[in-house]
Parts: sequence; C-alpha cells; structure tokens
Amino acid sequence: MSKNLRIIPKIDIKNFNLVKGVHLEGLRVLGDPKDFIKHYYDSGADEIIYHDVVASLYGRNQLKELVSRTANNIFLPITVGGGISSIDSVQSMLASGADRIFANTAFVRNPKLINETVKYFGSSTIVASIETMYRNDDYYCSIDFGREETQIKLEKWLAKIQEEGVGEIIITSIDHDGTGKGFDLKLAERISKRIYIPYIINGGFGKLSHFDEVLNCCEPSGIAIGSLLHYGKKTNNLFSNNEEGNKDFINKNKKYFNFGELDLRKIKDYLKNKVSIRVI
Amino acid sequence: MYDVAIINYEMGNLFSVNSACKKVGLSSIITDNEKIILTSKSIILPGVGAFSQAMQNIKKKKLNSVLLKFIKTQRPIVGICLGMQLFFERSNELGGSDGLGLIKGEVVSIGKKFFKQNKEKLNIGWSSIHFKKENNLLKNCTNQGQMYFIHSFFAIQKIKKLLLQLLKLIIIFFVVQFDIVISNVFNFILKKVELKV
Repeated sequence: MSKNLRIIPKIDIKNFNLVKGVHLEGLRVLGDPKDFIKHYYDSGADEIIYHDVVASLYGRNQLKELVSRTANNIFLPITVGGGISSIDSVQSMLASGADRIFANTAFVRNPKLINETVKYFGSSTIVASIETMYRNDDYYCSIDFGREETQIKLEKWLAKIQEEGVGEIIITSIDHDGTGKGFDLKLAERISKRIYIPYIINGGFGKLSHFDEVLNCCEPSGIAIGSLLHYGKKTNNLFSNNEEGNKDFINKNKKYFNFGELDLRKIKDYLKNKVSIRVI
Repeated sequence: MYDVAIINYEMGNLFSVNSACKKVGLSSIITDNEKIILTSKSIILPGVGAFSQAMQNIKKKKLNSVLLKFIKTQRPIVGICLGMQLFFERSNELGGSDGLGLIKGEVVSIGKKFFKQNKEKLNIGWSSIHFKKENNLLKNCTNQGQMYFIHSFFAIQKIKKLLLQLLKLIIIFFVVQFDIVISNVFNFILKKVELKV
C-alpha cells in the first residue's frame, strides 16, 4: 500500500478566534476561523485540525459550536482537540461534528484514558498529540500547550501511547513552531525510528524545500501547517478588524510573519510529482 | 414521516451525516425512537467507534430488534463505516464481538494483509476508489475517485447474494463531497422504495 501524504491546516483557537504564536507562545489573534477554513477548504486542504489551545488550562472547550458550524458546510475530516478529558467529552465533540479527537494533557495526566477511549471509539478515532522540546540533551514532553514541561522523555512516551492503541500521533516541535525555519529534522528522525503507526509532523514549515528535507528522512502521513498558511498573502484580507485582533503587530510583518505567497494549491502543485497526494 | 432516520446509538459522527442529508434536501432526524425509525422511508446506521462497544450500545437501547423489524419492511438501510461493519456476523476488533448478522461474513483487521509491520494497522489518507461495475455513486462529484480513508478493518462477505434483497450495502468513509454522494445514494434507494412505504 503506497503511502500518501495529507496537508493539514492547523487552526489554533482561543476565545472563538484564530490565534497563532511562536514556540506556542505570544498568541496573536488573527481573525474569524471560519473565513480561514473556508479558504483552506476551497484551495485543497486534506483535513482540518482544530485546537482549543487554552481548554486544558481552563478545563473547558469552546470548540463545539465552531465545529458544528464548520461541519455544516465543509465536508472534510475534522480532527479536534483541547480539553478532552473523558469518554463523554469525546462523544460530545463527535456529536458536534468532529470526526477524530486528539488529546495531550489528559493522556499524560491520566494514561488510562488512552485505552479507555480507544476501546470505546476505536483506534482510528483517537489521536495522541505530543508537544516536545529539546533541552538537556534530550526531548521532553510538555502539556497545557507548552506551558508546563514534564520529565517524560519523548521515546518513552511514544512507546506508551502506541502500546495503548492510538491510531495516529500529531508531533509538534515547540522549538520550531511558528518560526518557518523548517521542520525539526532531528526530532523527525528520532520519531521515525520508534514509530509504527501513522504520524503528523507539525511546526516549522516555511518554504517548499522543507518538504524535501523531511520526506528524505521520514515518512509522515501528514504535515500540519499553521503560520505559513495563516500569514499567506491570500489570507491577508481575512485578518480581524475587531479590537481584540492585534492588527498592528501583524501588519508590521515582524521577523516570523513574513511567509510570502505560498498557499495550498502551490504546495500541492510542488508535491504532486514527489508523493501520493490529492490534487483538486 | 422522514426520508432518513439516522440511528442514534450514542456513537458516531451523527452531526456530519445529518448535515449532509439536510444539505441535499432530505428530511432527516437523529433518533433512537422505535416509532420514528419504523415509519421512516430509510435509515442510516452511522459509524465511528469500536465494534464491540457499538453492539453493546445498540443492545442496551434495544435497537437491534428495531433494526430487524425495519428490515422486514423491505425498506433500505445504509451503513456508513462502522455502521456497515455492524451488518456482518462478527468482527475481530479488540478481541472480537458478534454483529447484527444481516450479512454473512466477518470484519477483520487490515494489519496483516496490507502492512509490512503487523503492528501498523491504520489506513489513512486520500486514495482513489475503483468500482468493478459502473455505477452512479460518484455522479456529479468533481473529484471523482478521491476518497478519504480512515480505517483499520475491512469486511469480507462470505456469499455474494445478500440475505436481504433490499439491503443496500454502501461503504462511505469520508468524501469531500459527502453531500453529493449521500444525494446519489438516496436518489437511488428512495426511488426504489417509494411504492413500498
């Protein structure tokens, strides 16, 4: 079975707004997620990842309404996470229109929940998310969207969640998130040696040649992209006008916000002769 | 009377299925009510979940007998993903469980058959779909043949002839134009069933 690659816009949500940070920090309000998602749907996204980035911290999830509205109009698989803490919270998210669920904090705090949810919803519905950064000569897992570092080493946790039966893993490099400097290849290589289930690489994409780097060393099943898509030229007019939106900051095109003119069509066009990929 | 009763067994992507039905103009309802189910023109058994848990939920709500009653009316039933798998006699997911037994055959893991490493068991992503016989299932879809697959199991039918004449076995994973596919499916089955309701 030939492997195929999905390109997945990652939509980080805080208080109903699309936000994006660097190293998962300094979240900027960009605008109404609906508008961005519509654009990504039309230009060929293979799936959508929704992430309520403050849900674990506040113990809630505001995504249900947004997911419902999206599922009404957009017939793409939607993977939702943030604040998932029980069988019930998974079910209510699925009932709102999510197709798959991911969790990080809840799985780390209560590893029994992994197998409980897998047994109930099947491994294809349950995705584990790992947010990791390199320090003291090793990768360690973080929780609460990077706010809390744990002593859990990457490889150990990777083995555990695969053992518990999740269907796929989303791996975020905190060090590379939002920077556009390329994927964390050292991380990707270590992952690919220890993983036997599909995984999505997230964090660092900034230009087309970054795909070649990562595809040369590993076989991810998906690549999640945030900043590059959100800050693309075609989404510029979608930026929020409301006062919450930090428009001045964005318009200044600071160091990490200069992502040029790449969009999903150009990305797919570049990839179509290299890997098995859906082109619309 | 509804065109479609979407069976609610406390699992599955009920919302997406209902949205797709509504979008193509079908009157649909998410329900576990016997009376509503039995008076609907057709039903959808939706998916997303583990096989044995799904059967437990169905039995707890006594929906298995309702489904059998419905099938005796010769009206169509569409199974999506796990919903389709539940039609079969048995699945080997998570230690194994009996299904509804409407179709002779079983549901087995794709691991050993398709992957080098047995531990790898999920087929995920967009792939082309090929039909043995020509049909209208993808009529009007602009992305003909491209389907989003996400599954770790597949169904093996033991005998070609279905136990029930009108039982339409439709496998739907996710489709970008899910709504159009739903519309095609129901254009087909509702036309057939009109006179019998």
